[in-house]
Amino acid sequence: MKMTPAFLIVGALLVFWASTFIIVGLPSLTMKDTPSDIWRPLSPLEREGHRLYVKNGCSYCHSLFIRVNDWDIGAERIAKAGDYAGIEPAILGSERTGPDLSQEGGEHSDDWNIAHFNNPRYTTPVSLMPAWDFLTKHEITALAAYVQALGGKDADVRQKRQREWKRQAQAAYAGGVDRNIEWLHAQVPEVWRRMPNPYPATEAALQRGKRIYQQLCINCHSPIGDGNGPAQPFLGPPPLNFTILRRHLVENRYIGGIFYYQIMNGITGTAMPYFKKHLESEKIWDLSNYLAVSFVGYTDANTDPRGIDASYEPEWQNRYQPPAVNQSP
Amino acid sequence: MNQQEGYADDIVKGFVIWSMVWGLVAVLVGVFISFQIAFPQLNFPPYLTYGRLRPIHTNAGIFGWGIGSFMAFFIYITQRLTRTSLWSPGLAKAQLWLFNIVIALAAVTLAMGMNRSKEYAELEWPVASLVVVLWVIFAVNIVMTIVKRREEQMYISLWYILATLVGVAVLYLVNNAAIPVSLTKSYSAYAGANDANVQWWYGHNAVAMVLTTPPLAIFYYFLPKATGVPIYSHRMGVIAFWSLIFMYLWTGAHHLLWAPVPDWVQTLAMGFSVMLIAPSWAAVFNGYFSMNGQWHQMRENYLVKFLIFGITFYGLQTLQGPSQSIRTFSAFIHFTDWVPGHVHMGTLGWVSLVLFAAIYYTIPRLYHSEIYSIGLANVHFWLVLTGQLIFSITMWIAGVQQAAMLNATNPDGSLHYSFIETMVELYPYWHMRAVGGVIYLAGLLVFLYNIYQTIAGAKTQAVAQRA
Repeated sequence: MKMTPAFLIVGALLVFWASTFIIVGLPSLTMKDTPSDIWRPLSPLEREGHRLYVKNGCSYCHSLFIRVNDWDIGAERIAKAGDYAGIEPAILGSERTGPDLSQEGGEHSDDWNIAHFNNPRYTTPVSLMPAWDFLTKHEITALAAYVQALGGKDADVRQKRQREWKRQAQAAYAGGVDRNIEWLHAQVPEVWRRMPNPYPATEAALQRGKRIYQQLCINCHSPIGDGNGPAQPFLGPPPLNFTILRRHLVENRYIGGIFYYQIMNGITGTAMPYFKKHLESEKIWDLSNYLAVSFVGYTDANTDPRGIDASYEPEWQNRYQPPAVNQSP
Repeated sequence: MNQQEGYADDIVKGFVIWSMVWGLVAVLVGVFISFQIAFPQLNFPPYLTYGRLRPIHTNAGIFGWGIGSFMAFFIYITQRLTRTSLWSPGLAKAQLWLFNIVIALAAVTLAMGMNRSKEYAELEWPVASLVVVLWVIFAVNIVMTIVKRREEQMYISLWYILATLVGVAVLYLVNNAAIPVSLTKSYSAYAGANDANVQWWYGHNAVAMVLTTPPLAIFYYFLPKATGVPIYSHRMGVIAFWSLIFMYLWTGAHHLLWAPVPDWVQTLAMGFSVMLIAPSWAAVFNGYFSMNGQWHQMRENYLVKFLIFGITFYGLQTLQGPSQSIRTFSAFIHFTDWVPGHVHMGTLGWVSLVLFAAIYYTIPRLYHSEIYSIGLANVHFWLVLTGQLIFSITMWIAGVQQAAMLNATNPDGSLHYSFIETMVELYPYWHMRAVGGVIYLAGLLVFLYNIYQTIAGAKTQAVAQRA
């Protein structure tokens, strides 16, 4: 075959345009840009946030689509082409150095997002994400609004829940420290309120709990559990001061079940996220024991009602005494 | 101007030197952002945050170091293979100015946040338009030189050069089609999932037309030059060339497996990706067979060492790439740190090793001198090889671990690890990657020092002769 410039240029052009027509042209002509069931237009503020997302290269670490084989947060729904109708640029992302965000809207409360953008380590102590506190207050609000819109109508459902409970949580907090805790306890189903921690608070268990606390909790609730971590100024209601719980034990006894339930489900509306997808049963009980022993000075671990101890559990005596009665006002 | 043969070689010198400058920038920024991932406190907002620096790293690497040196060697090779001086040295001079202006503008605008966030097509329309002008100037000059050539037979390198000129033009024009709304902002001509399909068609074929065909042109030219024996098979070159050209542009959607683009597009992309093994390995074998009876040169000739390791990494890259484009494997490995490991084997291993060899070969000839130190060239070789292998292997292990953790389920089917638990485990690998990057940077500095001394030595020699 004799190669000449004309042959090479015309040949390459023919091959390139033919393949391009099939692999890019045909999809362009046949793919329908019709909105999916969860699609909704972005508001001006959300669009502004989208611009900031594009401008600052968020897509180099975050993807915006869930595949059939994804099991992480938001995997309740697989991405459809119609989810991206009219979005420009539709950057789906190529890395998950950070988590996928396509269903992030409403996963967390607005104030959690604001704190997170100001410094991701405030809400996620081990995060590697850069801090965005150099953006203006308005820009951070816009970015948060965009993230809260990810997931379309599904996100709106979650956002509605967040906002409704935020109103109630703020009202309870305004009622004073003790009223607030009574309200929080009242949101835990009856059976959990009188459930002691079924795991012994051994040294090993407390160490495991401490590790979890440092990885997930410490920058809201602070190293001493008083709720004054670096995230606190951004959050309303602020993170709970655990030490106050000493005067709010149920029947001056129980606290383990309440800890467990609140860690598992989070307190939607406040910045407290759920951890049921992050932590398994034993880890949550270990964390509950750590909170109880470290910040309340008491744990109900292995107190009655209790069943038969699991075979691996060491012989462990609960030496913690509940506080003397009449201490609470 | 190389007086003896009338070739426009001063401009080659200019492009080589500037591409090395941008290459240094790319590696410096790369090392810095690798530290940013390991230590997020190193983000200095707004200009020095990871999100702004990463596109500067890729653009400086692909377009500054890559395209810059390809321009140098296309001009160098074309003149010699056609036995014709460059059609217009003046135009080439303008091209060098424009090239540097474009790359500098790219760095500044990306730092400012003028980013379309389409990978490797980040530049906003004013800069992107300058890229088009740049490419037209370049293409016209090369094509005209080939047209008025004095050597009838066209060697393999020239085919790849022409394909590159045509291919980049098609890709860039289609994907950058946009409607400007202001000096700093434009809207893409595509939207929704279709936009993603166009983008990855471009994104992957930037790899084809910038990181495959130009280094192949350079490899095919400099391997016989370095060894002193001809390339093994012209016919194999023809088959490999046309099959590569035919198959490459179908493959972009393998970046979108399991994404909401039509299944048939994904399947077609997957099939062609696997088929690409054949033309890729035809080039690898053409290189290896050219070494028949010459393998001792791997010990004696440092240029051959760079070139053969380069083509070997090309071979590994073109096996790993197609395997990643298979749906099942992609499901596991996509989104993880495996992918940067893969990319850097191609860029640091294949492209850069071949470019190093080409620069070592041409600089002494352009300046009429000898290389300053072969010993340092060997130090350079081992440093960049070690740095790159540490980078890639670390990231492959990290990627497999990350993928395994993200997919690990409890017996009841629930997810075993939270995202943050999988991420925390990656920090040690990120530290290791930064170490690999520093070693690579050290190797690059040795290279630059060697080249600097070669040029400086040539100049003092010239002065001494004149005196």
